This record gives sequence, C-alpha cells and structure tokens, in this order.
Amino acid sequence: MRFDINITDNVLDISALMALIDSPENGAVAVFAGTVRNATNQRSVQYLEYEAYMPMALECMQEVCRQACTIWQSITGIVLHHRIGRVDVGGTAVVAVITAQHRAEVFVALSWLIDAMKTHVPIWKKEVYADGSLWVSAHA
Amino acid sequence: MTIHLFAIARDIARNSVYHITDEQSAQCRTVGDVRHLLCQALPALTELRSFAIAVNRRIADDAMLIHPDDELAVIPPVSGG
Repeated sequence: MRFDINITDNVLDISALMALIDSPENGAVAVFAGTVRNATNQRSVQYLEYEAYMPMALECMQEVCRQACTIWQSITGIVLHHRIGRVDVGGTAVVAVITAQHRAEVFVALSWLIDAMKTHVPIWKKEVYADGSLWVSAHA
Repeated sequence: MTIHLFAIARDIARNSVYHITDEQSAQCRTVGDVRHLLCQALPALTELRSFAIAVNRRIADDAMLIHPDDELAVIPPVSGG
C-alpha cells in the first residue's frame, strides 16, 4: 500500500503523479483531475485562490486515504495532491489517483475519495471575478 | 492563547490569528466558551453557514475542555477540490 499526499503551490503534473504509484501488479489506474471552470452561476471567474490549514489538511488527507483503503481493501495505492495559491482557469487544482488489481473498485473508491476530501479537508477556495471575490460555500 | 484563522474567518478578523487575553482565557474552559467569545468579538462569523473549531488539528465538540497549550483554529465551511 502506497500513499502520496501533498499540498503544493506548484503545477500538478498528472503523468508524474500517476508514476508515483505505478506498479506491475496493478491492472487498473483511475485518475481524477479537478480543473478550474471559467464561470459559476453565469458569473465569469478569472481565477481561484486556494488556502489550506496545512498540518491539519495533510492529516485529514491521510485519514481519508486510510479510510478508502479500509473500505476497498484491494486498493494498492493512492495519490492525492492539492494546489494552494492562485490557479487560473483551465488549471488543475486537485489530482487523485487510485490503483488496484482490477477496475471495479477504483471507480467507486475514487468518487468516494474526492467527495470525502471536499467535505473533510480544511482547504478553501476563493473565486475571483473582475469585480470582486467570494469564498465558496462560506455563506448559506 | 492564540486562535488561527483561515479563509473568510481571516478576512472577517483582518488577521490570521485572534489573541485571547489572559482575562478572557480564564473564562474559556471549553470549545463552546471559545465559540461564544469569537462570536461576540467577530459577529460576522455568525453569518457564515457554519464554522467549526479545531483543537490540535481535529474538529472538536463544544463540550471539549481546552488547555493552554492546545492549538486552536477556526474552520469555516471547507471548499477544496
């Protein structure tokens, strides 16, 4: 079982991240890349600004990866990397990779992992518009 | 005692930390006491969808007792991904 977890202000290289848990025993590699849309609710987005409570976020990312491996025991590796700082439209904000011997579990595990990350990990994004900005989900 | 503030909580306070004075600290025995103090000092926090308080990098219940060496942080609604 290999985990590779990181929060970085560097560009995420999907191929390089996939290679981190590459292994001849794997028969399935599922990759999710979350990218920056150019609009939300018909309002034009210029870029996103991400911020993390770094030590807690890294611990929470470890925890959700451990939970995924408890639920789906055929997982052989997980990569979970998230950007902080400015990410422009089209840029990649998060990459998750899950490997296993067979494909069935990696699809469902990957979806679960991203949902868990979005609800449990203390990372925040601010949408920046031409005429202002907004912390996403802060207000009802 | 110092409370770390992130994202919109930092914007509300215009500072990345909130310092609790020794006098206030004597009245803050639990996480709920800290929450009450913060809501009085920074009323815009009450307009958020919610906010949690982390103690030593874990989300804490309001009933949890706090200690002088604990690492406290305000956790507004998260929005990673």
